[in-house]
Amino acid sequence: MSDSNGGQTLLIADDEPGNIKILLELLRSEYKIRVANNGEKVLKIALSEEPPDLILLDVMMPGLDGYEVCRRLKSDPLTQKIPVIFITGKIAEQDEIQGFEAGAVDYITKPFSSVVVKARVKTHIELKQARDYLENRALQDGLTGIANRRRFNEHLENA
Amino acid sequence: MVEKEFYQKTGYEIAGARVLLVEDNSFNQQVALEILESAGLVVEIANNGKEAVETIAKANYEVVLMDVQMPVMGGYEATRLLRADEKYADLPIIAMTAHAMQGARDECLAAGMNDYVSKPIDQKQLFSVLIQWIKPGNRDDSVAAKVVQLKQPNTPDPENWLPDNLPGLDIESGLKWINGNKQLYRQLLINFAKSYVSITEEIEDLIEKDDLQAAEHAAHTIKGIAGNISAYEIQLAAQEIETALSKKDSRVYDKLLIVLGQVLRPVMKAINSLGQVKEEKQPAEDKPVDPVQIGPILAEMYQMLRKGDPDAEQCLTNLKEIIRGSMFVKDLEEIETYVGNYDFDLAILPLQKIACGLNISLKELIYE
Repeated sequence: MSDSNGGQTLLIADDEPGNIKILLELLRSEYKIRVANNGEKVLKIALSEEPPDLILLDVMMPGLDGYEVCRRLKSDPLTQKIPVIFITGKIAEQDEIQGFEAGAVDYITKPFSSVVVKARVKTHIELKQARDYLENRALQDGLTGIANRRRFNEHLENA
Repeated sequence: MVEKEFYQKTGYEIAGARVLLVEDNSFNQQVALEILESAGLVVEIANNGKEAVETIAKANYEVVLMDVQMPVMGGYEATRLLRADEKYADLPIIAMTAHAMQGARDECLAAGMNDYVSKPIDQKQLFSVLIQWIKPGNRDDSVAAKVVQLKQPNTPDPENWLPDNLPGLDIESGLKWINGNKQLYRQLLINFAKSYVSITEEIEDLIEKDDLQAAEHAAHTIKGIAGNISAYEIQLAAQEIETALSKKDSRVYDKLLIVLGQVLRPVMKAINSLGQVKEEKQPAEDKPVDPVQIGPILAEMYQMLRKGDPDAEQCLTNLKEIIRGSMFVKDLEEIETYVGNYDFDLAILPLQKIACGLNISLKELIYE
């Protein structure tokens, strides 16, 4: 598939089409975007052959809510490394704690400022890239770029 | 699917419970009543906080759904009064609030409410909150059984007829909130058009009279109701007016009122036409569609929908060009609605229907 927006993919999940639209327009020029209007679709996309590099996840969704989706993502080795930012109208400290416990890396409260959203997304995408880079370095042979013994062991453990 | 299980669960667990609905707006009463009764709840209505306190003193309720902004006595005050009485220390009180979400929750909890749901009321959200607060008691099983029957959709009737599209209204999601009840939705639309045809002028008058609080309240009301019928543009326009009024940002009043008028007019016109429209079958459209031309586009669209790729919206435009005037127009409209709601998985079904009708195998095209 053609890909004009750089390599980074961002998944926007919200049950409210209006919210998706706003975030989509805000971020589509900088990232490749995927959208989902329910938790199941988020899991499906995260487990697909083209998983996103970051997920913006609405907390209050019917069916699987954001917390549950996040917990499931974090408990699956295939998806646990995808950072999740919660976007939510809930702001009580208890909620924030619940979000971090579910495994989110950050929290953005609605109504949000577009500058804040862009900045946080950028930060976490860059962090993810740096992490991926270091991980690759650690798991590849420095000279040949071929997977090393550590990678082999890790693969065995996960198999 | 999850959704189906959810409804079954809700139906049985809370059916028969007695609910007091406290809401001043008759339109909102109607919507909430329909939703609650569809779940088999026994509903009584109080028109404001004062009535609620009086009603609760006379009868037992398992849960109270309380609007926040009401004349005579608002929801917060009524809750404080109730909580002051030990008898009602454990009575679950759930706020219904259309306020921008930030802070609303804290305020509800501070007033002694147990939880809140946002307005316009979303059926699933409401049920999941109700399940949390209504104790699974020993209620009459026959009520629960009746619920399941109640939930069967009404049989089609020309009086209930709704077109698939009305300008400015997201019919699909409007129906979703009221359990797909077309008759009710139609009634809600007609009531809306009747009651608020000159709301723009009314707000303008109130601003001129410098009664900003009443103007804000009017904007707030129309915002909530527009949300209930999924007239999103109106909802947004009203919300902007409400915000401007609360900030006393007088420079933008005129501009925002013009916007509200502009988004209201086509919706009102469309609703008024509902009264006259009879079900007329459109002449069968049968422009032929070339499978070779459309095949790759269908396949591309299919992949985009599966991946959650928002470029599906663009792809849809191309598809429309080809399908216009053919027998697949209805399927396409369905796809359009789903895609508009980013309900991509649901959009796949009508897409497959089109492919199937043309003997196209999407899978083959993708793996070619």
